[in-house]
Amino acid sequence: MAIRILLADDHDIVLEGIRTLVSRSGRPWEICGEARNGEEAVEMIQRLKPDVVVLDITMPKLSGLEAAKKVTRAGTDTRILMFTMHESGLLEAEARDSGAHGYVLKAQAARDLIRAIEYLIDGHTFFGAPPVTEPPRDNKKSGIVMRQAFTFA
Amino acid sequence: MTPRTRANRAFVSAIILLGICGIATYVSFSSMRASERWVAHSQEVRAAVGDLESSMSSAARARMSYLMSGSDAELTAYRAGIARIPTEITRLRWLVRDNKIQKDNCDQLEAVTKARLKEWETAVADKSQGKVVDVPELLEQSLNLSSQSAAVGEAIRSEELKLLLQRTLAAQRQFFIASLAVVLSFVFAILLLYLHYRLLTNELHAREEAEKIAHNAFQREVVMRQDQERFRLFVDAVQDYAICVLDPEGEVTSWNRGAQRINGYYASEIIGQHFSIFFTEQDRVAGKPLEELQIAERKGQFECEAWRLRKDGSQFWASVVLTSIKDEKGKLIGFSKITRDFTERMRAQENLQRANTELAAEAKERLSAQERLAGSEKSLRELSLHLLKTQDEERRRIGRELHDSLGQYLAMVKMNLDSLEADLVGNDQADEQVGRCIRLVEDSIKEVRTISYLLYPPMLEEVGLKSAIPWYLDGFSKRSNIKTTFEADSEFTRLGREVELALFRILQESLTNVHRHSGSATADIRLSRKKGRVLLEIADKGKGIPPELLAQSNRSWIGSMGVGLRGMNERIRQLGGELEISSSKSGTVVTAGFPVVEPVPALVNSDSAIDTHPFTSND
Repeated sequence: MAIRILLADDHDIVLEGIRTLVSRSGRPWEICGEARNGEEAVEMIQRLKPDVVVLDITMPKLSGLEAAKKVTRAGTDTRILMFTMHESGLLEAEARDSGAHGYVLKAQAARDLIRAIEYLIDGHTFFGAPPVTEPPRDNKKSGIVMRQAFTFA
Repeated sequence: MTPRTRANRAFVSAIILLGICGIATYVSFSSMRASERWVAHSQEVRAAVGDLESSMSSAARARMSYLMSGSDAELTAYRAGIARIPTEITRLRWLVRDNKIQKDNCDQLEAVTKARLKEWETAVADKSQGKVVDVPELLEQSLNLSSQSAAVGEAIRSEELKLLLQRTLAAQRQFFIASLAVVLSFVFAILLLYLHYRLLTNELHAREEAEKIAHNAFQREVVMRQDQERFRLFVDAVQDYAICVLDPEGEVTSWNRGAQRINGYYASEIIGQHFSIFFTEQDRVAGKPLEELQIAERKGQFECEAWRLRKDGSQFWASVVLTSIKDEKGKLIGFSKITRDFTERMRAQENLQRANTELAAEAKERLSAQERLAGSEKSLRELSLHLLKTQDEERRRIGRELHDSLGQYLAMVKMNLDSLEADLVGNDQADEQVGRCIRLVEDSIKEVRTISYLLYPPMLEEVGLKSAIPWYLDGFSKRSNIKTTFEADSEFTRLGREVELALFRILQESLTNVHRHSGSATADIRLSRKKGRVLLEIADKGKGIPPELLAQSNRSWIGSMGVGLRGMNERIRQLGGELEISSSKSGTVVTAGFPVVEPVPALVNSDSAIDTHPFTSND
C-alpha cells in the first residue's frame, strides 16, 4: 500500500514545490490531500489518516504547532513533519514538544524533505539538521545555549 | 416739712426744753437751800435753848457760891449771868416766832425762868442784907422750878429735833430732785444737740448730693452742647454727603456744605424750598417726593438710588437715605436726608460690568480654546497611538509578507536550484553558476529573514512571549555580540496578543538601546509574574542614561529617549501598564509591568486571544 502524504501550507507555490520534489524523488508516495490552514489540516488528518503530514507552522486560523498539539492529543498514527521558514533551534524544540516528529527548513527542502519523510515513515524522528546559514562571523559566543545535536533516534 | 422747718422746730424745742430744765433746776436748788436753812434754823434753836440753860446754870452756880461765901466776885458773876438771860430768851422767842408749839414752849420757859430768877433774887437780896440764908432749903425750893425749866427746855429741843428730821428729809428730797433735774437737762441737751447735729448733717449731705447732681448735669450739658456743636460742624464739614433736614412737609430746613457741593444750591437759596426740587420732572409728575416721605414716615427709613437734579439742571446718580425724625411722643418732626453722588461709582460699575462681561466672554473663549486644545492634544495622542498601532500592524504585515510570501518564493527558488544543481552533475560550468545562484538565494533568504524578524517577531503569535524572547535573544546576541541571559517563571503562560507584542517591543527597543548607547557587554532579561502583575526587566551594566535625558523623558512622553521606547511607554499606558526606567552609572534597568486579570491559555487560537484581550485603555 502506497504511503499517503498530507500537505498543509497556505502557499500554493510551496504545495507545488513539495509535489514536484515528491514526484521527482520517484518514491511511491501518494499526496492524499492538501490543507490550506491549520484547522483544515487537523480535520483532514483525522479524516484521511495519512501516514505523514507535512505541516507548515505559520498558517491562518491555527498554527502548525497548535494543529500538531491538537492531533497528538486526540491520538493519531500520522507522523508529523514540520516544514517551515523559521530557522530556530528553540522553535524546533517547541515543535518537538508539540508532538512533531521532524523539523525541516523550507530553504533546505531539496536537501532534507524527502529524507525526513523517509525517516518518519521508518519510525524515526528528524531534528537538528544543519542550518541554511552560517552563524555570523563575529559571533563567537551566544548567551543562549543552543541545542544543536543531531538526533536521529 | 422742709428740713429747715424741721431744724427750726428742733432748735426751738431744744431751747424751750433747756429753759424748762433750767427753771426746774433753779427751783430745785432754791428748795434745797431753803431746806438747808431750815435745818440750820433748828440747830440754832437747839443751841439757843442750850445757851439759855447754860447761862441759867452758871448764874445758879454763882448765886449758890455767893450765898455760901457772900463773895462779891460771885455776886458780880451772878449778876453778869442773869444779865444775859433776857437777851437769850428774846433771841429764842425770835427764833421760834413762826412756830406756835415752840412759841408756847418758849412762853412756859420764860415763865419758869422768871419764877426762878425771882426766887434767886429773893435769896440774894437776903444775903446782901445780911440775912442768914439756908442753902439746902433754898436748893430744895428751887429744885421744882429747875425741873420744870429742864422739862420745858427738853420739850423745845425735842420739838426742834422732830422738825430737824422732817426738814433734813425734805432737804434730801429737794437735793435729789435738783440732781435729777440737772441730769435730765443735761441728757435732754445732749439728745437735742445730737438731733440737731443729725439734722444738720442730713441737710449738708442732701445739699452735697444736690450740688453733685447739679454739677454733673452741668457737665453733661456742657459735653452735650460741645457734641452738638461738633456734630453741627462735622455735618457742615462733610463734603461727600449731602446732609439736609426736612420739615414734615418736605421743606428744607438745614443744608450742609456737602449738599451745597453735590446739589449746587447755597443754604440761603434752598432753605424753605420743597425738596421735590431735586427730583426729575418725570419723578415729580409720578409723585415720587410725597411717596418717599410717606414710606420714610411709615417704615422709619427710605433708601433708593435714582437720578436727581442739580441746581444747573444736570443729573447725577444719587444714593438717598431718608430717615424720619420723631419726638419722644412719636410725633413726626421732620426728616433727615443723606444723599451721595454715585455717578462715578455707577459709571465705574458699568465699566466694570462691561469689563466683566468681556472678561467672561474672553474666559469662555479661552476655556473653549483650552478645551479644543485638550481635545486636540487628546486627538494627537490618540492619533499617535493609532499611528503606533498602524505602524506595528504595517510592520507586522510587511514582515509577514516578506517572510511568509517572498521568503516562501525564495525558498522554493532555492529548492528548485538545489534540484537543478543535483541534475547538473558533470556540467561544471553550469553547476558553478547554479551554485552561485543558490548562494545568492541563500543570502536573499537570510536578508529577508533578518529584515522581517526586525520588523515583526514572526513566532510571537505562534509560540508566545516566553518562547519568542529566547529566540529573539539568540538572533540579537549573534548580531550584536552582546551576551544575554534570560530567566522566566516556569508557570508563565500566554498573555494577550497586544500585551505580548508591547512587551516584545520593549525588549527590542531596550536591547537596541543597550547595543547602541550603553556600552554594556551583557543584558539580563527576566520575565516574571507575581501578585497579578507581569514584569519584564531588561538590565544592562552599561554607563547609564544621562540624568537630564531621563528627567526629560519622565516629564513628557515626547522626549529625547528615542521614539521607539517613548512610543512604547505610551502604548503600555494605554494598555494599563507602566514603564519604569532607572539608571545609574553602573547600569540601566528598564521594567515594564502589566496587570494580569486573567491568563490566556496557551492553546487558544491567537486570533481569538486578541478578541478576549483583558486589557483596556487607560486613556
